[in-house]
Amino acid sequence: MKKLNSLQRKLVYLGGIIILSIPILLLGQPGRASVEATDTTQARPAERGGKLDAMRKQYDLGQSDLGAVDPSSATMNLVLLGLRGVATCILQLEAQEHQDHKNWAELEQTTESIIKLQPHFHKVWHFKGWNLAYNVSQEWDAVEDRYFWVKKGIKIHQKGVRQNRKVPDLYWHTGNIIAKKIGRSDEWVQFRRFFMKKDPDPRFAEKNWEVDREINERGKDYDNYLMAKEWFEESMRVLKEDNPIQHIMAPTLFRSYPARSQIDFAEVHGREVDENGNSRIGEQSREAWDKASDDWIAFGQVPILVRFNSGEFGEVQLEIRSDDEYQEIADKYEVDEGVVKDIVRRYHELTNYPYWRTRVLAEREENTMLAHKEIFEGQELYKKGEFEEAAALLQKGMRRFETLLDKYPQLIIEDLTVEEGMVAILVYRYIRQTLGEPPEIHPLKKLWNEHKNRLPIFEKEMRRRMEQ
Amino acid sequence: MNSEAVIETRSLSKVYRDFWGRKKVRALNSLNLEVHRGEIFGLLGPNGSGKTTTLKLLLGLLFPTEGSAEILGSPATDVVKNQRIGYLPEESYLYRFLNSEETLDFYGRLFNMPRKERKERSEKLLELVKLTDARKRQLREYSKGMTRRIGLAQALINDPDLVLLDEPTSGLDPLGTRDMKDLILNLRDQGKTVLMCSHVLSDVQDVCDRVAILDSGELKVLGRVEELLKNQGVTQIRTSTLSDEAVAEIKAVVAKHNSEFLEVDHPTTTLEDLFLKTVRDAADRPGQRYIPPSESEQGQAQDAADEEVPVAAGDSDSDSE
Amino acid sequence: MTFNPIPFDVLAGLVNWAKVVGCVFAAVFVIAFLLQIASRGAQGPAFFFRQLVASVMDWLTMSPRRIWALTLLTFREASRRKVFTIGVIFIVLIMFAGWFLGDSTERPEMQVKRYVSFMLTTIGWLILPVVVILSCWGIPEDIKARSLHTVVTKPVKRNEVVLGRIFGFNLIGTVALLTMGVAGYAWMMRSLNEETRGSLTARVPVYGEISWLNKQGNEALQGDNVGDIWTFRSYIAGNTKARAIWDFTGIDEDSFRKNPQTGEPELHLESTFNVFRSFKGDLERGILARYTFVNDSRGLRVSVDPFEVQEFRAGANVMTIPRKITYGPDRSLSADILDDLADDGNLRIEVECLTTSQYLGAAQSDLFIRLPEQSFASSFGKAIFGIWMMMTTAIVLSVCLSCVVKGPVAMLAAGCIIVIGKSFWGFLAKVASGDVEGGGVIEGIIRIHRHITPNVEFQEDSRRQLVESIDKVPQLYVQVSRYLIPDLSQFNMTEYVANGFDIPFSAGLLPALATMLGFCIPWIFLGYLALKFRELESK
Repeated sequence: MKKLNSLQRKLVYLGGIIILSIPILLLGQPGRASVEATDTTQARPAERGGKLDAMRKQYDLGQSDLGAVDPSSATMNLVLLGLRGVATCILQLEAQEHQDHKNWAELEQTTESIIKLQPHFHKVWHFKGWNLAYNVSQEWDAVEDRYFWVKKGIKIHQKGVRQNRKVPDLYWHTGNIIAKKIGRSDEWVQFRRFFMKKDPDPRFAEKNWEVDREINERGKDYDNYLMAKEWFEESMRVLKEDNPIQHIMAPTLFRSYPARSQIDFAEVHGREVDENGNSRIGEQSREAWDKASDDWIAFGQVPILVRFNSGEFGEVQLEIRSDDEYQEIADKYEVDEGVVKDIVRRYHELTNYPYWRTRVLAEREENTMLAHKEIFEGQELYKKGEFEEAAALLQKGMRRFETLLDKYPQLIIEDLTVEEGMVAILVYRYIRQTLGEPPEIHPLKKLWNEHKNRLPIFEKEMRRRMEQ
Repeated sequence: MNSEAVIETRSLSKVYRDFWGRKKVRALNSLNLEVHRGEIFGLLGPNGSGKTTTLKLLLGLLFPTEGSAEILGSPATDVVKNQRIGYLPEESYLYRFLNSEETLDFYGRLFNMPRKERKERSEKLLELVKLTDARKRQLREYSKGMTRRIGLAQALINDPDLVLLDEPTSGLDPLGTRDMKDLILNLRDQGKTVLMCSHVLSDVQDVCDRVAILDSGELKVLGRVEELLKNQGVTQIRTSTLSDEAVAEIKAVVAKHNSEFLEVDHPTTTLEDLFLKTVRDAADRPGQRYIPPSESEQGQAQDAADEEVPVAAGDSDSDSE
Repeated sequence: MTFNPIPFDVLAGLVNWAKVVGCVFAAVFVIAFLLQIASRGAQGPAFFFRQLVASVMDWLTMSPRRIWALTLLTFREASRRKVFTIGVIFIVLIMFAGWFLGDSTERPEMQVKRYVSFMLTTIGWLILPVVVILSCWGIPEDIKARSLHTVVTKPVKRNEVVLGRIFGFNLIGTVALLTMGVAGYAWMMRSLNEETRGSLTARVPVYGEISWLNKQGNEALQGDNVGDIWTFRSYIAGNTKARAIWDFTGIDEDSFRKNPQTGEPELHLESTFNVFRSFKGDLERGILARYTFVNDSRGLRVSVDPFEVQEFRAGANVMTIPRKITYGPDRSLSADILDDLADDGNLRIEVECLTTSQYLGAAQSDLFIRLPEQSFASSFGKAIFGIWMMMTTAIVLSVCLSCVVKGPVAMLAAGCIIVIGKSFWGFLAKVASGDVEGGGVIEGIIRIHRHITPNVEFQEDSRRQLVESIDKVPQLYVQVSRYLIPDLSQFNMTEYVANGFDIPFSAGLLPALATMLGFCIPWIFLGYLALKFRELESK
């Protein structure tokens, strides 16, 4: 073989480098967004980069397209070259050990590192945030400490959202924790107080915020359910605008969440008392229900894409008031009315649409609001020993309740409603008994007869409520 | 001459084995050697002949497969002997990140010398090897010759009784070579024993009292330099320039009787000739010790020696028809 | 806290060490002896014993000056090869560390925990690779460049070469470590704010021995298990006769601290109990616990006021008890803790949980008497000393390995041993004892292949016996080789410092010191033997 001298060899290498650069340039050349003209520079049109750049644009995969870029995360990944997967696995094992050994500070730090290594895996964000908000928080004994970890979990989700602008799941999970962990856990009374009125961390008081503005962006007195509703609405917006995929649940159910959160907000008035121990039921709660009914009906009117067994696609909606409307849809897609009904029924079962519809319509009425209020206040009076006043108020409330059940007979089998009515009856009967009046005489006879076989359950519930 | 043996080897052999213990190379075969106090002994041989192996066996860097070596009365593997020897390695294997002052200080410490003594010795040796000006420079910046010189200085740091020099003049310019040779002779004058390996035959010829020539791990030649190089049975005549007639006349005269000789001497061959002859001869008669003429007074190699003479005489000026 | 303050039993450790080291050296000598007989025949034994005597002489005639010369040489070599650029990496790391260490809205004690553990972990992991690489290449490079030839032809003994190298690398490591320690400390002080810095303390705890009573009031080995994965703590049920009892010894005047206002001596009792709620209970109130001082010989039982346990709140669960306790109805009775309640310096404290159906979790380290605090700097310094000991162990290991094999091989071997010793020693111990879920190698393979979970037992038959007996072989191997690998987690004292504790001598520093010496001494000797009986001109 012919021996090449040094210069020739170098030229061959140079040639090789150039040849190899061509595909790299074609594939990897970065593009540039267009630049507007300023006083000192001329406008520059956008430049098309290589194939990879085009694909990155097509699928929105650029780091900055996905969300805010965290410099430390980028550095870490750069330093690790291709080993981030391995590093994440090792860190996850470590995190698990820290959690088992209750080394919370180290757990949190490891969590942060894992997130930094995998900033675009939304499952990682969710898993880690959930772990802190649910698993770690319950390990701590003091409610203040638990709240601290719930907030940590929420904040991780929020950060995940900032870095992954186009993932509806993360918005939804953020809202879900704000709604359910703060609003429905064992500690909901305290958590809601911390969220809305006063964070246990004194530093927020110093800032004159009172609450943690990072998770309650609207500040003091803003309800966690409304905050959650905003997050659900955001997730809906992202789902519509940027990324039509969410990995959580059936799309129709997913869409119901903003309205459901509004319902939760309205509902919480009924089970919560204000600082002075008074019921929060009143005009404000009725308005909340009013908004909830608007939201729910609006949700019911969103078209749902379905496929009939003919193979044809069509649109149905949850809010259907009459058989004529079914017929109309059936005619439109040339299918049996029965088929349409069947499909809609399935969606109704999925979302429990008819029940909530009845509920919101019932609750937004002033009569209903007053019924709740009078029953509640009657029971409070009973607790104070003012029996006669209590009986009068209870009777008034029960009458209104009766009207409500007459108008919305579906509610006669709904648990919460039944419980409220039955407990009211029981209290009323006790009062009458105490006052030496026949206990059998009371309104809501129909409800009583329907459910008196389950009396022990309601008696227990009554005792619980009366002891509070 | 003091005939006390400073180095003594008895059937010293070395076989290199590979990782699995299989025999690879027989580097040295039954070497018997004695170096006496106060002499300069040269170890010669072509590459791979076993002289470096011998040196390393003597220093205890290698362990003999068979036989034994004693230096200054103790086994070669004994560390105690190092107290009294100095070693100049082939390529001056020194620490290149030290400067010459630090180098000497370091090796001085290894001899457990106190600070004051180290300082004095270093000073003296730097002067001796003429590196006083370069004392603060790291060895990595040194030329080959300077490296040899600092190498020699470290070998002498402990004022040793026995000095082992591996290629002492390689890389030195003629002036440096001269200095080195003077130094070696000077060492002998101080009563030290010197063992040197070298390829530069003229140097060996100049300074060595005795030489040994090794080839393929075997000792081929051993003896005093002047005796090895002496040709018996030959007379050398040197005159001033003579006319042809005068030469004829002298021839005639010589044929008749002895008169008007300017010089009568035994002509010597050069060590180079001897070396080449030995090596060539060894190729012809492998496994046999080459007996040079000087040692063959009662041997049968007289013929062979005779054959050598014309070669030697042919080079002399006085050779004539 | 995950540490158990068990004082190190020096004698038992020493006996154990002597056994293992004795076995190793006996094996080495027997093999060497047999080899000599095989190669030298009848002269073998004589040669062997001559060498043995020579080896002993080498150690008896070591010269500090020669060792120091080699130490200095090693140090110079490394520093001229610019190893101290490691400092630059460290500075860059801590410059950006703030990015990774999260926000300052954190609770102070958690922030401190993060910073301290980050700092100590970083220093530990940064120094190890550097010294391992350096020490693995030192001697092999020296042999390869033949500069060692020049050295060993001087009256230098091989043990001096080994020791000189070890000390040299150690000196480098020490300089680097000290610099990093000081810089790290300064950086922490600078980046933590005023309030948080207050959490940098070094509590000095006096630990006791723990024992248990069960619900019926009988002695028990431990408390209840509430289903926690981590079995470090066990639990006592509330409002029962269950107790966790601590016996403190050596209580004297010095165990008390002077009240800053009144000057009265008082006992500071700190706890780090966990709680477990079997039902929600009153969320706004913590679980109640109570201390009772017990002196059985005098029949005295003195309870102090109950307190709410503040779980995971470092430093919040401190109870100050005056030396003269008043108790009983209307506090009419009084007792002196030292004179009345302690029995010859032995103080017994019973802990009970007062909240019905809730549980209090405790481990030995969860109750302690607090002496006056040490400075944080001193405990940080001790943790750095722990890292120093780990570094020394790594250096000795690497240098000695490099006496036997070439640089890259030594590096791999040292790396493996260090990674195992640092991260997987516990796992190794588990494998050795056979406690690993899912059985041995073969059993594991079968389980994976057949999708059998570890909690399903294999059928009892001959095949199972076969599998188990094959699995015994690697297990046995691990059992033996485990003793040759140091448990480097002994040197990790981060947990003490990060949790604001002083590092105790007998439970923290002493075992680390013992581990270091226990491994280093035989290693050095083995390294020396390897270098002595090895031809430097290896071809």
